[in-house]
Amino acid sequence: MKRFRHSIICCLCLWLSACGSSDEYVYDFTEFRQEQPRSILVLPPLNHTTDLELYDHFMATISVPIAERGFYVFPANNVRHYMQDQGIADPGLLDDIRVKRFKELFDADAVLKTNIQNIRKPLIGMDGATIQYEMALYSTVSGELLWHRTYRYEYDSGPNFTIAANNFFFSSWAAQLLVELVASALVRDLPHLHYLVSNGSFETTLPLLSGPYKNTDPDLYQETPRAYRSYFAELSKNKKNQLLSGDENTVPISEEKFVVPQPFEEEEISGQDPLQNNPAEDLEKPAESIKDEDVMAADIDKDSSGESRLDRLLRELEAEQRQLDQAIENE
Amino acid sequence: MTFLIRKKSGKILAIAALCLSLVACGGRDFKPSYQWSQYPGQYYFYLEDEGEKTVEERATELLKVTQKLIEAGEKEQKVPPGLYAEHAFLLMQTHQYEDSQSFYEKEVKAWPESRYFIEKMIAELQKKRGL
Repeated sequence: MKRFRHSIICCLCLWLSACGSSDEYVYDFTEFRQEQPRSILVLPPLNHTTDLELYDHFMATISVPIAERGFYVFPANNVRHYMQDQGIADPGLLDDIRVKRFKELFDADAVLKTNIQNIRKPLIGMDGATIQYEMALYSTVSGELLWHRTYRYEYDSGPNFTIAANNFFFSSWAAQLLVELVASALVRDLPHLHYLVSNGSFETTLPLLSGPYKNTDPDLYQETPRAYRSYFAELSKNKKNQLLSGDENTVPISEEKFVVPQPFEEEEISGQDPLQNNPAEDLEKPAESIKDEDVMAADIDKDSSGESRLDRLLRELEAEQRQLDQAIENE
Repeated sequence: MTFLIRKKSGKILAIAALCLSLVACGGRDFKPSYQWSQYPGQYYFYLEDEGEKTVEERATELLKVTQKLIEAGEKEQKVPPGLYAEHAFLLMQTHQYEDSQSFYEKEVKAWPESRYFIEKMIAELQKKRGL
């Protein structure tokens, strides 16, 4: 019996020792390895929600995880100013611009496009929100997609962090801090945002290979940073107890894996041709009728035969001339 | 596996495995590689106050933060990418053109990837100075 117990402990410990690594998130980085981008330009996100100020808040926070991953991120405020000067600050307009053009404008190696698809906020006085957004990294050299991911996120502000507790048990650690950072920026949960930026570790959050300023193991992002773990362990004690007792049903993050990437470039504007409903066309019709009237006014003196007075005079003059010529010849 | 473990060595093995598991789970201690502190939050305020305050007022508020961050970051060589440029841009907004150019040059020195873009910003700066 004792031997059996020991063996069980052995197996349990071996199983625990393997908890550091996980193969939950796998992505094909062959194109990324070929390109080896050094600098990333973050474009203002395409916003399919009604909140128009979202992209500024997004831009304020997103450079942190990318820089911590070891890339050069273009300064957000400078870029914003420059784009406004160039008249390309509108995210919809930026989406139409060829990706390769950003090499000429900024000398950026890669461009990060974000598409905020959905944000559902409950009524005032209630906590929580649902956020869905996708991110795609394009190379400005080849114009190809380097990395793509879609996130759906149940955000719960306040003293208890539902998602935190959830992920502590069920989901992979990679990219969760990033997702939470973006989510807190989008929901404008400022205290939480401050806490994350100052206390969180973003080294392993962005599920990308590390950049030139970070010489770490490329697969490091699969591991769980200890600081992050302890942070959530502190925050979600209450929630954890609830989960263990099975009081509450909570929905974990759903990360869509191996989704066939849909590049932003392929989206076409399927609007009506602006010329088809041109109001100027309606104005042309009265203009034409006026024209006709003018022509009519000029030809008012026409005879019933359709001959104008001037023509008749000319004809009479010609006839007189001919008669005179004949008289001269007869003499 | 059970038949391989003898009675006496079992206990020792179990303890060893327990230690191993603890070591493996501990992982490494991760710290942010740059000094960010309050910058993203303050930049958020800077954007939010647009329309309520003048450009100079907003810029001077954010300048205090970037100044502190750069001072703290330079000690540990932890100035995040783009922060010199942001600081320089705020200096430009508060009409301190000479300081602004020196910080733009610092950015290029620290992050050579930014050269092309920063040169454009410097050209704009010199236009404002009237050079």
